[in-house]
Amino acid sequence: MKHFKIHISNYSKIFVWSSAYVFMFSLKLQSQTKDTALHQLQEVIILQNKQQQFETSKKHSEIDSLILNRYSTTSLADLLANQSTIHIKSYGNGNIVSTSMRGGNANHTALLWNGLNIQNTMLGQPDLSIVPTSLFNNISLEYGGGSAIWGSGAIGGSIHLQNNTRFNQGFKTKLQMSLGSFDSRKINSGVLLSYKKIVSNTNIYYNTCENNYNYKDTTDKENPNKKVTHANYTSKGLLQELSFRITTFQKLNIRAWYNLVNRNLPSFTGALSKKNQVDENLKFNIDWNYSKRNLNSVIRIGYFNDQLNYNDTLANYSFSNNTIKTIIIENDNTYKYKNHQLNIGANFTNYNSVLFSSSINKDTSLNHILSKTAFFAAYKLSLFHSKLNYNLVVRKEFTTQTEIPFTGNTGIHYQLIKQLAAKINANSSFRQPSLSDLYWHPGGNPNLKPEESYEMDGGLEFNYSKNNFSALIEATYFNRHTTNWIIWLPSEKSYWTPKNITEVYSRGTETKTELTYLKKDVQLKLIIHTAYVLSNNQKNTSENDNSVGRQLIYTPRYNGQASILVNYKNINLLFNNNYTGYRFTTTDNSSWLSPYYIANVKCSYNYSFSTVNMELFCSINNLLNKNYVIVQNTPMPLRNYEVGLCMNYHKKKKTISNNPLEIINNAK
Amino acid sequence: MLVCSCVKDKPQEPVKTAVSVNADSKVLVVNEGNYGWGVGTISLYDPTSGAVIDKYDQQQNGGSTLGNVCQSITKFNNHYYIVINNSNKIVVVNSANFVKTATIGGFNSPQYILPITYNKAYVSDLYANSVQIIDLNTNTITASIACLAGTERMALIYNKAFITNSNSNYCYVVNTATDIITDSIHIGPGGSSIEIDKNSKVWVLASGNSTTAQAGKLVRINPITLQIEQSLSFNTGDSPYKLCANKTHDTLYFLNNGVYQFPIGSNTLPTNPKINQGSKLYYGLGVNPKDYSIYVADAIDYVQKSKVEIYKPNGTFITNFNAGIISNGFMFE
Repeated sequence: MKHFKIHISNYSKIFVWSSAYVFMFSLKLQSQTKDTALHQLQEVIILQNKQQQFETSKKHSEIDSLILNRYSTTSLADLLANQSTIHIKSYGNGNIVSTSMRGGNANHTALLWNGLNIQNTMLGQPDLSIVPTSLFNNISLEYGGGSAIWGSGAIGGSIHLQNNTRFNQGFKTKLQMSLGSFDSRKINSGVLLSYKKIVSNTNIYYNTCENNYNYKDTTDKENPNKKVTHANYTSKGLLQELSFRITTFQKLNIRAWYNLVNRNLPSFTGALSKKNQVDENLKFNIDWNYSKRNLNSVIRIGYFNDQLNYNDTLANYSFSNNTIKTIIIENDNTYKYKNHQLNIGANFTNYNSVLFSSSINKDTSLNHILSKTAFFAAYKLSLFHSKLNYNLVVRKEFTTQTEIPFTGNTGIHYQLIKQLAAKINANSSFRQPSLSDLYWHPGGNPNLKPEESYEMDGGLEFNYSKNNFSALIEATYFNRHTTNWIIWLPSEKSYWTPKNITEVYSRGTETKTELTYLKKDVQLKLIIHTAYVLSNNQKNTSENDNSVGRQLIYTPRYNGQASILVNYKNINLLFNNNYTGYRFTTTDNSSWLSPYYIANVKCSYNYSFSTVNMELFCSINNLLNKNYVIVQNTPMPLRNYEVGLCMNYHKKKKTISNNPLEIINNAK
Repeated sequence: MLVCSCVKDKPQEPVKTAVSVNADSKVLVVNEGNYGWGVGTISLYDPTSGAVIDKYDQQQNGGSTLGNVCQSITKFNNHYYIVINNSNKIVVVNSANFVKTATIGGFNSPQYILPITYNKAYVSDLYANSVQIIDLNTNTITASIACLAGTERMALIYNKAFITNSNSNYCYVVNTATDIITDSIHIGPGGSSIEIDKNSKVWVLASGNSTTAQAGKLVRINPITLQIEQSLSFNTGDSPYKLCANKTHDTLYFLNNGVYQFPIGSNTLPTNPKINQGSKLYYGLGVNPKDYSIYVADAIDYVQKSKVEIYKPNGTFITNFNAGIISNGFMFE
C-alpha cells in the first residue's frame, strides 16, 4: 500500500498526483490539526492506500479530520459507533466490542494498521475498544470484500488506520488532558521532531475510568435504578515512529506501538463479578520504500505480540492466557507506464500461538504454528483522459491448514460527467478460520474450510462545488453471498465445535452525503451516512431450525448517522446523531431489541499566541439521557460529560519548501 | 441497478394465546436463555389444548425477569424454587400463581436445589467449592458443606443426600442430620444426574470425559450399604446425560445423541435410541408422570426458540411446540 501526500499552499489550488483521482476523492481539508489560524499556510493531504489507488470502483470513506480531532480522547469503537454505519456491538461502556459491517459478523471486518492486518488471529476479530484514535493521522473505511488486496477477514469491509510521516515540520509538542463522568481521566502527549531527513514522533497515552455508571434496569420492576460495578479500566501505551529519508528515492519508516488495557468486566445479571481481562499488544511495523520514476517498491515487515489474559476467580477454573506472535513480510511493487499501472508482490505470514488455560482439574497449554504465503497482482487501466478506470486484482494464498480460494476484484469507475461518476465492482473474498476455531480445546475443528464470499456492488457518486459550497453524495447498492460460514454448535460430545454450515445472503444500500460551506471564518459541514442492510441466513442447520430467511442476530437493518460540524473562528461545534434500528437477539427473529437514537455534542475553543495553541474542549454524550442497550442486558451509560484541555507548541522550520507540489511517496 | 424493497423495521409481536393457568395438567418448561446476555424464562404448556404461554414468569410478575441462565425448577411446599445460575440466586414463586415471594441470593453459581426438611435445603454449585445449606423459612444461606466445585443434581433417601459432581470421579454422600460428607462413591468422571428407582436404589449417570477418553457410566448404588451393585459402561466418546425416571420409576431415560430407554432390570445398556436425534440437538428431557409421554427439547442452534417434541413411550411422535431459548428441563403438574 502506498500513500501519496500532496502539500499545497492554499485552498484554491488543488494538485493531484494523478488526474485519475481528481473526481474520485474529495480532497481532505486538513486544517492543520492544531496550529491553524485559517489564514496561515494550509495543507491538503491525500493519503491513498492500495485499494484507493487501484480499486477506484469500490466505496471508500474517510473520517473527516476535524471530526477525528474531536474524538481524540476516545477509542476507535466510540468513533466508529458515531461516525460510521458499522454496527458497533458494545458490551457496555469501555467493555469489549465486536463489529458488523454490511451484514457481516465480527470476523468479517478487517482491521489494518498501515496496510498490515492486525486483527487478533486467535479470536479472528478486532476489538476496537482497545484502540485509541489519537494515534492515527487518518482513519478510513473500505466497504465490501477486500481480500484480493488485504487477505483474510475483509468480507464485510475493512478499517484502515494510518500513520503518515511528514518531513520538515519542525518541532511540535502537545499535551492533552481530560476529565469526565464516571471518574474518567485521560492524558496523552506527543513530541514530533521533523527535519529534512529524519522524523521522530512519540505519542504516549494513559486513560483510567472507574466506569461506575448508573443505569435503569427495565427488567427489574422493583429496583430499576442500578449502578455498574467492577467495570473500571486503565489503558496506556506508546507509539514511537521514526522515519528516515535515506536518499531522494528511499525512505524508511519504523513504528513501535505498545498498548496495555486492563479491564474489569462487569456483570449486569445482578451477580458479583470478578472477571478481568488484560490485553497487551506490542506491534512493530517497518517499511522501506523505494520510489523512482515509474517504479515504487516497498518492503514491509510486521511483528506483533498480542496477549490476552482472562481471569475469573469466582469461576475457579477459568483462567486463560492467549499469546500470539505474528510475523509478516511483504514485498509490493507498483509500476506505472502511461495509462497502465501494474502491481505485483508477495506476502509471508507466520502465526505462533500459545493458548494456556487453567482448569480445576489440570492446566492445558497448546502451541500452534500456522504459516501462509500469498501472491498478488493488481492492474489498472485508465482511458479517455482517466475518465474510465478499470481494475483487476487477484490474490492467491497458500497454507498447510486448508485450501484457500483464489480471490479477486474487478471493477470500473467511469466519470460520466464532471459532477457524476458511476462505479461497478465485483469481488470474491474469504475469511480463514481463526486459531480458536481451529484449535480451541476442546472443540476446535482443524478441518474447517475458509468462509467465502462473492459480492457485487455499484453506485453513483455526485460531486459538486461552486464558490464556497461543495456537495458530495454517494449511493451504493451491494449484494453478497457468503458460504461456508462458520458457526459454533454443540456437538454430540459435551462441548461446542465450529462447523462450515451456514450460508448468508446480504444486500442493501448505503448513502453518504457531505455538504460543506466554507467562507473565511466560517466552515459548516453536514455529514450523513445511512445503511439499509438485509442479511439473511440461507440454510437450515437442522430439522427444527427456524432461522432460514431471517435477519442475522445483532445486525440492524436500518442505521444512520448525521453530524453537523460548525467551525467559526476559534469555536468548533460538532452535533452528532445516531440512529440504530431493531436488532434481533434470536436467529428465528422471535426476540429483539428496540431501536435507539443517541445525540452527542462536542465543542472546543481555540486560543493561540505565537507558537502556542490552547484548546479547551467538552463533550456531552447521550444528550437526551436515553436508556438503551446495544447488547441485551448490557445497559449503556445515560448522559455523561467530558471536559479537557489540549496545549500545543509548534516551532516551525525557518525554511519552508517553496515547492507547492512536494510529493512524498510515503510508506503505507 | 437492482432495487431492493424495504422491509418494515418493527417486528410483529406474536399473537398471545390464552391458557387457563389452573388447567388440570400443565407443563412448565425451563428455558436457560443465553449465558451472559440472555434472559432465562419459564414457558407454560397445556397438553390438553396444546397452547403455550411464552415467558410465563414475566407475565405473572409484571414483566420482571428471572435473570440470566435459568438452570432448574423444583417444587416444594407450594412453592417453586427456580435456580438462576449466572445471576447467582434462587427465585421463589408461589406454585399456584407463579408470583414471586422471595429471592435467595449470595450464591456463586447455583445449579439445583434439594429440599431436605421443611426448614432446610441443599444447593449444588458449579464454581463454589461447597454445597450451600439454606434455611427455607428465612430464605438465607446458613452454612455450607465443603465439596469440590462442580456439584450437580442430588437425591435424598434414607436421610442421606447423594450429590453428583461433574468435576470429580465421585458421588458424595451427606448425612442430612449432621450435614457432613460421610462417604464418596467412585463412579467415574462427569457425574451429573441422579434418579431413585421403585426399589429405592440410586442410579447415577456419569457422562465420562471425551477428552481423556474415559467412558461414561450408568451406576446403581445401594443407598444402605453404599455399594455399587451394577455399573454399565458406555462407549468411549459418548456423552450420556439428563437421566430421568418415568412415573412408576421402573424405566429410566437419558440423552446420548438420541433418547434412550433403560428398564431398571436390564443388564445391558440399550444399543438403539428410542427416539432418533437426527440433525437435532436434544438438550432437555422429561417424562410426564401422568401419561408416560416423553418430552424432549431440541435447542436447535441455542439462539432461537427451542422445539419441544412429545413422544409416546414406544417412540411414536405425538406433537411438538415452541418453548423459550435453550430449554433444558420440565416440571409436570
